[in-house]
Amino acid sequence: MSGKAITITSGKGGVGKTTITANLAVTLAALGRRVTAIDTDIGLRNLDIIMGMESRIIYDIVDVAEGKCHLLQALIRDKRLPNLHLLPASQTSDKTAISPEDMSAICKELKADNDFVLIDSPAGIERGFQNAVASADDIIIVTTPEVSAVRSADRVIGLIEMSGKGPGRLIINRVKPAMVKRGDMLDTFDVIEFLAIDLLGVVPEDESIIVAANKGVPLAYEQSPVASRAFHNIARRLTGETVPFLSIFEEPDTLWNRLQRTLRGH
Amino acid sequence: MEEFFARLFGRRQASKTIAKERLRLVLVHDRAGIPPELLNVIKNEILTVISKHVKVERDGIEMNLSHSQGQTRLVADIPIVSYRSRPGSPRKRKTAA
Repeated sequence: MSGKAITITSGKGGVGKTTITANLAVTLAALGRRVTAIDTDIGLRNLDIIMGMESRIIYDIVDVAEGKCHLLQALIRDKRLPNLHLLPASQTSDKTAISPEDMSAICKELKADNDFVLIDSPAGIERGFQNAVASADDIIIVTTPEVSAVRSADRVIGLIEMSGKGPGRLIINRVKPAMVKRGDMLDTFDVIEFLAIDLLGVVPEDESIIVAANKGVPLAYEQSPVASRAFHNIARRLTGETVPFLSIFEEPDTLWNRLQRTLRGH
Repeated sequence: MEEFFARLFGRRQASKTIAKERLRLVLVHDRAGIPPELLNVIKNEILTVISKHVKVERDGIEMNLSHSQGQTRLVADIPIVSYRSRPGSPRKRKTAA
């Protein structure tokens, strides 16, 4: 049975597309699904760094498109999860090195052997974005609760709808519950009301994300950090499960709550 | 501490309120494909046409995009200089939607 290609995009850069792609890939693989993550940010690859695979790249997506190697030769297998692979972007070519047809062919081949193909889109709305959207069965739009990011997300949602792929589902990243509580950050409800699309998940700001990126080991390998729980819930929603949303706003970060969370084991 | 008292006495507006208002405005323009600079061009052209026939109060003109019930509207409020109204009486206004 053929798998599903899901594109993760945002318009604005720096909102966490790559981190979310890496963590969802790890979580889905940990749930037993066969997963391949594709980095389509040609010239500015990063997914390899976040997944800790940067030293093992031999071929990249441009080599595959140009016929310099077979697709399987370019895939890097995760050290812990044998059912997780990465197809890295090229660091030297430019964005025109890949056409939408190349992407479709690569995705089609990968879907035959995977349950999920996660496509990490580059920022912006040019060629790279169009390539990433062209072969998607499903689209995830990532935003943060900031005016600039929500505005970009709105534009991207419009473009996705025009391309007939939409509307996609939304992940709100880097929510800071304390700021939301004192009225200094847009909350989930505000963002959803503006963008008028379905919510896939909310990921709270978590310093462990940076620690994980430093180490090149996606956070989702560990169950304890709060952001990791969010990724886990989103991954389960992608598999079709109905999972209640994280109640990050009902859990103030007091010592008692932290203690309780520790005792509960998450 | 200053911030705490400002909030206590309700003087500080939560920045979320400002964010929502700015976002609302910018999305109305983005979605309609009418950036503020284009709206300005439209405004000047409409004024040129109206001014051919009646005298308008240029300073009191308001032209905005509004969005409600799934429809975006261009709302213009153009005060007309009326020679017959007494000082202090309500101005006649011509509204085009």
